[in-house]
Amino acid sequence: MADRTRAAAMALRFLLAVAVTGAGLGLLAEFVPVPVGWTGWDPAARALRLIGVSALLAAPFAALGMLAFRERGRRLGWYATATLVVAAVGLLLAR
Amino acid sequence: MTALLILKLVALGAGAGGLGALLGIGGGLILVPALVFLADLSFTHAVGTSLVCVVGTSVASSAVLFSRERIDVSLAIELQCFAVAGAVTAGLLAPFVPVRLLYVAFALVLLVAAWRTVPRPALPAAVPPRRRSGSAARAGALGGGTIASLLGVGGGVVFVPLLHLVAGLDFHRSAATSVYIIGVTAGSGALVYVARGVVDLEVVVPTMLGVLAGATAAAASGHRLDARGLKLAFALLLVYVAGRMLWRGVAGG
Repeated sequence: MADRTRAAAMALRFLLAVAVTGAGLGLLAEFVPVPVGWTGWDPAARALRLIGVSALLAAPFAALGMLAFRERGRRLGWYATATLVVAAVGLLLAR
Repeated sequence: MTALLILKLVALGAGAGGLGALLGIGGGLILVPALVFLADLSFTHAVGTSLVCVVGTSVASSAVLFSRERIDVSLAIELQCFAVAGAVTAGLLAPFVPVRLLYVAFALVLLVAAWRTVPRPALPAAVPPRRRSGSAARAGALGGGTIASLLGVGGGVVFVPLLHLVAGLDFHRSAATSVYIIGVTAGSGALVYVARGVVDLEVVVPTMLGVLAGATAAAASGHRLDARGLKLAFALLLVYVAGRMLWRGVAGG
């Protein structure tokens, strides 16, 4: 289990770094002066913010995947699968 | 969005994240009222924003706690399945719940948090019962997930006592395991709010960065606030905010 908890910690750190970088750059873009008529800046800044928030929301589920990776077919594997399925169904129903 | 509003959201997030970490009560309880009363967000938008920020603090803390092997992984995986079911159901049903009722429920949770913040004389540590999980813990996790998603709080106010008193973990392990469960629970709730279109990226991003900065700075200071006076003052502040939430819920004021 120790190797899996280390992998989960690494996944969390990596996705947190992506989230902070994406969100931070997306926020900084608000303060950068853009030449009049250049329309590509806002979508780019929005995409960066979206990447940041998406990485953050994906992080706990990535960690869960790492923890349950070798539990397929066992009790914990079923719980982890059920968790991911319920979250996905919720996302689909809310759309 | 104006630079002033961005700075205001960063400051609110930093204050909520820092205070939450210092006092050990979680940022959502502070952030939702702050966004409603100081940034004029609707309750639903504040809840969606808060859930994303709660994920941020959970992810940052869980990375450290996993490295130190403080989290009971088996129990967390089992209980978070039920917590996520509660969070998703609550997120889907939230549009049908009267907002006034949510204000009242939030006020009650604030009062519970205030009661827990009030300093008391130290008692000998209670020996937790030797039960592991069971249907009571699962039902509790379902309830904790529901509260977290409906009110935009992490749910630590439910999960920590649940893990300690019902599932039988010692207090420190309960708190650490709760932090990880909160991340998955708030994450699944936040996904529902995002899909419903009530999470505004322009509001979430500065608030989230502020919360992360505040919580990291508080964690780097390496200790919680133990001053009785400060804790008492904060408990009174929570009671005041609970009163305002209750007033808005009852009178619509």
